Parts: sequence; C-alpha cells; structure tokens
Amino acid sequence: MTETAAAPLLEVSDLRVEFGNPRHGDVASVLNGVSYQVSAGETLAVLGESGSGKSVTAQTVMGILDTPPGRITGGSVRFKGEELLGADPERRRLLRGESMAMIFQDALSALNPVYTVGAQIAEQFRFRRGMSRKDAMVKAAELLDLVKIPNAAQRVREYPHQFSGGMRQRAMIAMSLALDPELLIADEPTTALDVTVQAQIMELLDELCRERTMGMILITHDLGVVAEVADRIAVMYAGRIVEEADAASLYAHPAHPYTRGLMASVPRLDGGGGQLDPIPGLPPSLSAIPPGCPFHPRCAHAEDRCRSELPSLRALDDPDATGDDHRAACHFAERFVGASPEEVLTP
Amino acid sequence: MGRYTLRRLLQAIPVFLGTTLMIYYLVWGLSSDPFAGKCGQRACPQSYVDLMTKRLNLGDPVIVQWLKYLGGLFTGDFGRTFSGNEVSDLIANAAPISFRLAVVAVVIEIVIGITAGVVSALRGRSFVDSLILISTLFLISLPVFVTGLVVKQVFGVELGWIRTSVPTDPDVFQLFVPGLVLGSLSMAFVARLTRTSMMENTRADFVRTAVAKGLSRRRVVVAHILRTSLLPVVTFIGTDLGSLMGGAVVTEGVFNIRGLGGLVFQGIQRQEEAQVVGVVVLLVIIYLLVNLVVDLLYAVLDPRIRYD
Repeated sequence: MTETAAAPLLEVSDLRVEFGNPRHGDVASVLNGVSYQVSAGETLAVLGESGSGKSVTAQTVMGILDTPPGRITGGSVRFKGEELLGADPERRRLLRGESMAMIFQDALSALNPVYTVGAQIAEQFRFRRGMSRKDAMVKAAELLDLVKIPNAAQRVREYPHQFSGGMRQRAMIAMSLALDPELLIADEPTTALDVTVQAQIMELLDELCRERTMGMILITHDLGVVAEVADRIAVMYAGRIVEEADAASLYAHPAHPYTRGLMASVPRLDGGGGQLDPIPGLPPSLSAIPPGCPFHPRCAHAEDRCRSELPSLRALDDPDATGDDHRAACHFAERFVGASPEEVLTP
Repeated sequence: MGRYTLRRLLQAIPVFLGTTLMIYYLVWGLSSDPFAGKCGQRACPQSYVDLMTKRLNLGDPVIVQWLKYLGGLFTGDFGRTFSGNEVSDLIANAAPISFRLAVVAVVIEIVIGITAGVVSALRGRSFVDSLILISTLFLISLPVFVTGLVVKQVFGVELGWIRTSVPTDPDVFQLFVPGLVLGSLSMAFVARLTRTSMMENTRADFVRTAVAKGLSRRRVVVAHILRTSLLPVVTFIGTDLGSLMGGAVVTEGVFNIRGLGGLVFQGIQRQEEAQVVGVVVLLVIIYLLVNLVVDLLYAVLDPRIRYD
C-alpha cells in the first residue's frame, strides 16, 4: 500500500452511458452516475459482477468504447484536470499508451495472432516514437525482460500462440508499459489464468505500479485478487458505485448488503462457516432497473423505503477508515458498518 | 516447411495419376470408333487406320495406352493430333495467352475486389456499402457468358469503345476487357469476402488492443484489421488462379481468344482426343501446383499454421 498523492490523476464523475437505440426503445442504462478517483501510485480495485459496468467505465476512460452501440449521456472524465469527454479524438489517441494504458482479460485474443509479440510491442515505439524497427525490437525485448519473461531476446520473435497463458499476460503488461503511462487499467487481468499464475501476475502488477508510482484501476470480480494489492476498493452494482472505502475498512466493515453478499460467496480457507452463501437471484436487466435501490429484489434486508427511494452514496462513520473515506449507497448502511462481515444480521 | 512441401508433392502423385486416368479413359476408352467421321463422308483408308492405331497405341487396352502416354509425358511428349500437330506446340502457343488473361483477371480481382471490400467494410451501412453489395450480387447472379456477350455488344458493337475480338497474340492491355469479364464473378466474391472478413475483425479483441495502444486509425486499419482479414481472401484468390487458367472457355470463346480453354473446346468439336487429353492434363498439373503454393503461402501469412 502506498501513500496517496493529493491531486487525483483520474477523476470520473457522474458518468452516464447508455447502450442501444432510443428510437427502438431498447435502451440499457449501463452506467448511472459513476464517480471515482485514482491518484498517482494508487491502486483502485473496481469490484462487481458481470454487467455491473466495470469494463464500460474503463473503456469510456480510455476512449475505446464502441459508439454505437454505446452512448455517453453525461458526466465527466478528467485526466490531470483535463476534460476528456468531448475532447479532440486525436488528443485522446495521443493520451492512449502515453498517459493511460489498458490490459485485457484474455491475452490470447487481445494480441494479434499474425504478428510476433515483439513486433506488437515495438509498434508503439515505431509509430509513436519514430524509432527504427531494429531499435524498437531491442526496446521490446527489454520490456519482456522487465516483466520477467525468461529468454526475452529470443521470445521477442515468437508469436502469441507460442506463449503460455501467464507469459502472454506478461507480454500484454509489457506492451502496456511501453510508453511509460501514468495510469494503468487492468480489466480482469487474471481471470483467464491458473490460480498460481494469477498470484504471480498480481505481484508483478503491484511491483510495477510501486516502482513507477503508476496509478492502477484493477477491474475484477474476484475478491481474493484485490485483497493484496488494492489501496481502495469500489464496488459496482447495476451501473452505480454502491460502496467505496480503503481496502482494510471495506474488508473489516462492509457496509452494503451487496458487498457483504460478495464476501460471503467466496470460499474461505480458514474454515470459518464451511458453507458458501451465494447472493440469491440475478443482477437486474439494465433496460429495466428496479425502482428504488437496484439491489432490493435480492436483498434480505430490504424494506419499503428501499423499494421506492434510491439511496445516494454517502460518507459513513467508520472508525477504521481514513477520514470520511468509507462511503456506501444503502439506507441502512449504519446498521451494517459496525458488524463484522461474518455476522448474520436478522432483518 | 521443407518436409511438408515434400509430403504435399508426394500426395500430388496419386491425384495426378487418378485424374489423368479418368480423363484418358473418358476421351479414348468411351469412344467406340476413334476414326468415325475423321475422313469426311467415307471410311478412312486402311493404311491410315493402321498407321494411327500404331502411333496412338490404339490396339492396346486403355490402361496400357494410358501408361504409354504417361511415359511420353515424362519426356515432354504430349502426343500428336490426328491432323499431325504436336499437342505440345499447340499448348506452347495457347498457354501464354491464357496465362496473361488469368493474370489480368486476378489483378483486377485483387485491385478492384479488395478495394471495394475495404471501402464497403469501413463505410458500414452507407450508400457506398449498399452500392457495392448490390453490384456484387448483380455480378454473382450473372453467368459469365451473359456478362461477356453484353459487354461485347454494348461497348464493342454499339458504343465502339473496345474491339470485339482480340489479336492473335494479345498483350495484357488488349486483354483488359476480357480479363474484367473473366474476373468479374470472382471479383465480386473477393469484395464480399473482404468485407465480411474485415467487419468480423473490426470487432476483434486485438483491434481494440491496437486502438488502446494509441495507434493511428490508418495503422489500425491497415496493419491490424486488413492484414488479418486477407487470410481467407488470399486462399480464395490462389485457388481461383487455377480455375481462371482453364475455366476461361466461355470468355475465350466470346472474345475469340486462342487460349487453353479454346483449345479444349476446339479439340472436343473436332474429336481430337490427344488435344483434349493434353490440355486437361496440363490444367491438372497447374491446379496441383497452385494449390500447393497457396497452402505454403497460407503458412507464411498465418503463423499459427505450421506444417512441421
């Protein structure tokens, strides 16, 4: 865990994105006012189930959201104070790679099968730095070495399919570091990997972020992955942030029933309980988000107020949290924040 | 790659033997009397029949005739026609013309077909895209002889822009219009194949990665989308080159081009068995070689395919 710098590197506020065509009436509200900040050297983990809007937020930040079908309907994305939404596309392109880079879940499909790994890394040096092909390949080999790929000088000439899954993800990381970005967005970087390899990749990412005081947004649905590396955690549900806190307080005092549900549905090795407790039901359809708190149909603690009134994300009084860092969007967050995650609360 | 090439060449041997046997049997074995109608209204003189029977091994069973023919092929002897021409001479005159015509057609396919496909894919759902889709569908729906005759009638006879037949030994420019007609069908296929392939790859994860790397649109389209989309197109064009060489019978007929297609057609009309067999055997060899080259090229273009 690193000290967080004062000025935020990235500031997303009230971001709203819809998918689909309003003329056909099939609009899905994918992001409904997402706000988060990342400071230099800080790792923000964004947690949530599939379809909660984690990746769409990241793609909007990167400027690689497919529009159509996506449509940004409101909010702002500021990078070091500069507004990115509505900025000149060429300016945004130059920021990609240089200021912010992204790594993807499935490195096999995210790498072009017909070029060598080295050539794909070298591409950025050649076309963004004007280096010769030869010099760029030398730099590519250095990067492969940096991400601890053995025999980098030879492997730089191999194709993605000749790499193992873990090595491919390392190559992907090397590629993202090429232009020395200040912000790295890792979209489920370990989901497609073996558990043992997952740990190595997370360790590598953590190490790189620290060495370079690089901010990182780590998108995942795996609570185990975040625990070690995240400074702060934001939990997303149905296109909203439902809870946000520094990692320690979130683990110690989860204040939103959804966060508590996520934690209860993870197997524990210390023997506690023994039985998994999955969250009942499914995430809501984004074209028909329930009124009130979007989580209420799946929440064991839901009351009348939850069915009609949308809870706002508000600061909580958590003695362990630094400042007013712990925020949750639940009408009854105070009831949960004092209880340990294992405690079963009767409604 | 060396071992693969060798294996492929060895595989070509049974294919070559099988196809030539079929052709030989079809042409020689099925005709009850090769001399029927050869000498006008009268029966052929016995001396002529004896001479030709000996020269063409007509007294042997078909399979023996075929083996003797194969033996000749290995020394470059494609046999002789009844009228006394060396088949190899006929081929030597006709093949370069057919080759030129096929090259013109393929170049047109590549240049116009791929360009139209790329434009269509990049413009998605626009007027240009619809125009290209409709015109390619139009070309695909028309048999080549219709396209050929209409082009000849309209541009040659009525407008007078082109000559209706080409000279005896035409150069590539004189073959442009026939090449366009010959390549029109495949050109339409190439355009549609390129379009589909590009549209698929545009949504591919690696393209998103390329965009996220901050590469220019041009670089993303050319190096990532187009380069990867050309794999199926190259295969198609490769195999098509083989069929363009031999499949130009109709186009050659329409424009009076004396190529291989015309030679087969003429051979069938005049019952010159040796001429038919010789040309078809040559086409088989061309098909086999072109297919081999395409497969090898495919491995060069797509590194995931390695034949060792």
